[in-house]
Amino acid sequence: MTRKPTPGQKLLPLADALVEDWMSLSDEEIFAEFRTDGFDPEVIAAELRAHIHDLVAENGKARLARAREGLAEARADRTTSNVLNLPISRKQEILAQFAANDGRLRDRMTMAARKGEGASEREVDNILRDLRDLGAIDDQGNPR
Amino acid sequence: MSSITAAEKLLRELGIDAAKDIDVEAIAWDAGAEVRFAPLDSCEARIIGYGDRAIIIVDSSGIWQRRRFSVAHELGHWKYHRGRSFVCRSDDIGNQRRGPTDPERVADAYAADLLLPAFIFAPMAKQCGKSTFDAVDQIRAEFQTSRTATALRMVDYGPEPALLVCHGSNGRRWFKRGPAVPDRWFPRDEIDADSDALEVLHGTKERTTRSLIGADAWFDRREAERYEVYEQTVRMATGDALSLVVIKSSEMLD
Repeated sequence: MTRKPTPGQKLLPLADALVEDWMSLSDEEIFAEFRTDGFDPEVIAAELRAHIHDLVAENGKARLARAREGLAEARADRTTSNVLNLPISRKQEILAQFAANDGRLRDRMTMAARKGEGASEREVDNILRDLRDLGAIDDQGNPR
Repeated sequence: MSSITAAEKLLRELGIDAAKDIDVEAIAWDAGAEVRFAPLDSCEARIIGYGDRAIIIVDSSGIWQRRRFSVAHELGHWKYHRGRSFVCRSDDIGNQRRGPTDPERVADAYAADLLLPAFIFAPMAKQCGKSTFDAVDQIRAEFQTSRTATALRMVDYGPEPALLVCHGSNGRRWFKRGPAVPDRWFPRDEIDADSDALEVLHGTKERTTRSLIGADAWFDRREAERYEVYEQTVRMATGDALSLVVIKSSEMLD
C-alpha cells in the first residue's frame, strides 16, 4: 500500500537538490557566496572550530566527572575477602601460580612491582585481594 | 617534541587544559585501573592487571608528589606493557641512566607527559623568562610534581637552552641536555672547585642563587674557555646536588 507523502517528505527532493548544488561548487565559489551574503568565511570557520573544540572539551570533562564518581562508588562498595583467611602456604601457592604467568592467564595478566624485592605477608594479602577484586580468582583462591 | 604523546592525547580527550585538573586517580579509573594506597613493605608501587581491568597500589607512606608520579608511572606500564609480568628494582623511578627503551624509562616518560603535559607546561615555563629553580618551584606547586621531574621538563620546554646535571659524592650521576644544546657539551664528571655547586654537595648550602661562571667549569672542552654559563644548584632529598646549567652565548648552540 502506498502512503501519501507528508509535506516534509515532499521537500526532500528539494533539499537533495540544494545539497547537490552546494557540493558542485568550488571552495572559492562557496566563499564568494558567503561574502555576498555579508559573512566572512574565515570568521565562520573559526567560530565553528571553537564550537567543536568546546563540545569535545565539555564531553571530556563529563567523562572525567563520571570517572570520579565511578571511583568513589567502587571505594564505597569494597568488600572484605575470605581469601585472606587461607593458610599462608596456600596464599603463596596461589601467588606463585600467577607470578609464573602460565596457562590462559598469560596474556591477560600484568604484574609490575616497583622497588620489589619479595612480598611480605601483608603484601601477599593485598595482591590476593586485588586478584579477587579483579575477578581473577574466587574466594578460595581458585582461578576463574 | 612537537607531536602529541599518548598521555597528552588522553588528557585532551578528557578535556583537561589546566594543571589543577590532572586528577591521576580519576584518569586511572577512566583507563580501567583503580588506584589504592596502602603500606607496602618491599616496593613503592605495583600494578596487577587482569583482562581490561587493573588495580594500582601505591605505598601510602610516600609524599603526595611521589605517590602521584607512581600512579602515573604504573599507568604507563598499563598503557605499554599490558600482558607482561616483571618486577622492578629500587632505583627504577626517574633513573636517567637507563636506556630510553627500558620499560621503566618508558613508564617514566608516560608519567612525565601525563603530569607535566607539554601543551600546558610549555606556555607556563616560557612565561617565567628564565630557567631557574625558582621558576621550577613556582610551576611544580601548580602541577603537584617533584622538583626533579619538573626541572627535567624545564630543560625540555623552558625559556632558555639548559642542561640538568646531578652530582653525588662519587661524581656525576646523570644529566639531561635540552633539545637546543649540541651533543658536544658534555658535563664534567666532577664539580669544579670554582662552582657554587660544591657548597651544596659538600657544604651547608641548600641552594645557590643563579650566577655566571666560566663554561669551562662545567665542560671539559678547549672552546669552553671563551664562554660563560649560568649555574644554579639545589640539594636533593638524597643529598645529591642538582644543577641547572644555562647556556648564555648563542655561539655555544651552533
